[in-house]
Amino acid sequence: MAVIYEIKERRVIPNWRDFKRTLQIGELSQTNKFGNPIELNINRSIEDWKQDKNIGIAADLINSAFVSGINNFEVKEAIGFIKSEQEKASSSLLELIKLIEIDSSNPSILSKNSLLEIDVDTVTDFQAFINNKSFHKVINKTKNRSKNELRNPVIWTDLARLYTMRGHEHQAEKAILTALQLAPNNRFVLRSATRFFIHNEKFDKALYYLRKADCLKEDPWLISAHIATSSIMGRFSPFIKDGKRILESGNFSDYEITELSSSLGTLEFKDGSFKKAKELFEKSMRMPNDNSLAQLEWVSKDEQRLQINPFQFDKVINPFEARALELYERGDWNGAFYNSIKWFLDMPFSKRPALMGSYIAGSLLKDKKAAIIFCQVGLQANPCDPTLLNNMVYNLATSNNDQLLDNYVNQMMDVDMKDLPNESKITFQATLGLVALRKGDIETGMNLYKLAIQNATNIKNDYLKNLALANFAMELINLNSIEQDLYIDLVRNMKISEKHKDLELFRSEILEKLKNKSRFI
Amino acid sequence: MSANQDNAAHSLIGLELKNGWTVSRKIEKSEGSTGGFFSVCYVVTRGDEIGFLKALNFQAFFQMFRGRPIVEILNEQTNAYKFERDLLLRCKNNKLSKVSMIIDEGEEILEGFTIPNVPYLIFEMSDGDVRSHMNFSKDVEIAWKLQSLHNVAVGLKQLHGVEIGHQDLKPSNVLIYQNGIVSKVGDLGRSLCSEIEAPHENGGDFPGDLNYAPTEFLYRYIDPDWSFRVRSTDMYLFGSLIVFYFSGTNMTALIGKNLDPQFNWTKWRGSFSGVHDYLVDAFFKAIKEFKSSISDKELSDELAKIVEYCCFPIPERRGHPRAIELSFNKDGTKKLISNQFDFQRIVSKLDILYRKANYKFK
Repeated sequence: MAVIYEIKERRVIPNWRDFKRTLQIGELSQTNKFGNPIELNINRSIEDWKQDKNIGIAADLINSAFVSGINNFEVKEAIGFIKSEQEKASSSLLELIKLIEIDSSNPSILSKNSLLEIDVDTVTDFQAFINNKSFHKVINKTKNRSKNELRNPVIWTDLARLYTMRGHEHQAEKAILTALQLAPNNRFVLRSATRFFIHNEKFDKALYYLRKADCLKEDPWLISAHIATSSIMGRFSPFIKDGKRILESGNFSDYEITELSSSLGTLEFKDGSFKKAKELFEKSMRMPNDNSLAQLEWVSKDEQRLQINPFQFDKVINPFEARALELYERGDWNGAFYNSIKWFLDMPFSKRPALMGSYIAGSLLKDKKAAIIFCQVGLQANPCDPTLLNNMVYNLATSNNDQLLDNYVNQMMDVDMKDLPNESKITFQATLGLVALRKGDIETGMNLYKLAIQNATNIKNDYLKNLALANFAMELINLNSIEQDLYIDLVRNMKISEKHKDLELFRSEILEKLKNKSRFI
Repeated sequence: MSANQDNAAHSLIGLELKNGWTVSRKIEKSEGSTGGFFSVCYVVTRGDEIGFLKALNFQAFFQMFRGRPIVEILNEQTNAYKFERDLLLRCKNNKLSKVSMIIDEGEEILEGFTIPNVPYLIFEMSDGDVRSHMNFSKDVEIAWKLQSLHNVAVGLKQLHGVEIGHQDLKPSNVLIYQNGIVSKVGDLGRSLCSEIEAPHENGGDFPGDLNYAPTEFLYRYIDPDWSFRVRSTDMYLFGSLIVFYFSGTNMTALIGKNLDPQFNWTKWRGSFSGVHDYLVDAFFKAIKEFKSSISDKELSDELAKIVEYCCFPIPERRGHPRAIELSFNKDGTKKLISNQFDFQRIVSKLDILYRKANYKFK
């Protein structure tokens, strides 16, 4: 059986985008006031321009105007002069003029809430993007840039991300360590590194580099990352107090403290302090980003008193995770699927959108091709992920794709079961049971399914038990097994929580199939 | 009586000065545009010699800083004048060939004026500053540009050799002589010297034109080590000058052009350390852009290398990479004497590039 395998506890781990988009999203801005910007004047250049007019003096004035941000009559005159003598001007000078004319200091306001390297509307486009051979060119180009710009931490961080997207952990780590060495205090580098180390389950390293940063105590974005990482490790961050101090200081904008409020809110929620958690989550929603919005959406699944509608926050850029979770909960499989695609395109190394997308496509929308594509792309970045392998095998088996099936079953068999959590073991047992049944080894298949159901009962995981039951019942109907009635009854009587609309769908599909079957008898 | 009528500095035409110079005509240059003190400029002659006279104009200060105590202004401007004169004499005594040379200096007293004293400096006559010789289109006057830059590099090296940091190197302060054959560094009005205290040395603030300043000053970062700060500043300004010669933009503007507006010095309210990694990213984009302004690949690569180490936005990592490596002791502490900002490598490289270009582009 395929699963979403939703994480047990979501933390506000930094999302990792390339530098350009991180800038545009505003995570690197700083409104904390250390001092006023410097004031410049261009009087000398203006006086020179008034005395003598030539391309050199005009260029001098244009440079001063651009550096100081001052634009006046004389500057316009110099611009006109250079334009009239374009043959003596360089392209850089002409571009500088353009920037002065359009007032480059006004940051462009994003008119939509989607900011992706590439946006797609169909699964075919998605596949084309993933198989895009030019991706290697992008990696090579970035690699060359990093060689030419050895001292540029930004380019090393972007290179690490590209390697991570392709599952090249070793190269990615080398690149991110170079960036950390060059810029041990930089927010973009540190947050990217935190996500990288957590992605590769090197939590200690994530904490080590965060703790080493001089600016940690004064940066809400970094304290939030430290609290979240510590929490994954079951520890309390020593910087919680600093985080609270920052929230109370009033020195930061609502946007700058959204993740910190969310992180602290999650801690309070976990500790059972609902009132404090609610206050903090409310603070985080004053100006949320995609991460804090997804966090509250995730928390709200288990807490009726914290309900939110992520669609109301229409200014949040890339709110795909929150929307995918919300739509999934509403049972809008199509909507959830397309938001999973966009979520993955935003974070093309993360396995969660790939798991969600492949589960929805394969199990709920019955679009096996799309599910297989999702598993493939997820496995590119996470080549040994057992749950992705499991979903791949499930979708190949249920689409009778024997050609690829054996290859992935072998990969699945190579996974060391001992290290897997119980939930994954149960999933593996059920999926291998399915494979055996499809290959005609009925006895092994039935035993494995029964084992999965029993183990899910043992660990009191009703959702997994019901999921295995539904999958097994469907296979028994397909096989016209004598045991089918027993399991159909069990499915009919399953107690399904309101939030598990997928199980509701499976039950109705089984009962429908049974109805259709009885018509033919 | 109008302001100019009661202004001794404006009334020198026709006068024979004590040291034999005759003031022949006034140069209509804006007051204050020629250096560290407000001045009126004249052409002066002595036999076959022609000179450029800069007369200190006290009156201009009183007009500009109305309300300030007169003694304070007199004191301040006299100090500025004395400082520049002393530096120029130091250059003259050390025979610095690529620094605009003072020929004479003195003070004239013109009776009948409220302030009769007119201190002045006389320089060798130039053909103007480098801006009037500029053409920024690709492949134009490459050999000439390299020769001029070589001259300027020699000038800076000479200045550093006598413990002077120019601190205000920009196109208007590069003067042209002998119909463009020779370029010299001019205007020491904002310079600093380790042995003569400068009146404008204000806690390490950038003394020159901020529109050309190394980016760290625009974020109010001041390196506490005087010698390091002064030398690294001159190195940046020189790299920026190279960029201007070929692209018509200085490095500060080019970094700003490639920097996200939220980090621009006119907006940023955080610390320099909070922004310098983004400056580095913008800087590398600027280098790429600079390279595209030169067609010849070999030349653009070589010049980009020089600019890269001259203008690196983090001062500690500015300077020749090999010299930076050698400037640290084995235990990681900094050596007291380092040639991180020595101009010799640049002088030699520009000499070679000039000779090659002279052959290639002629």
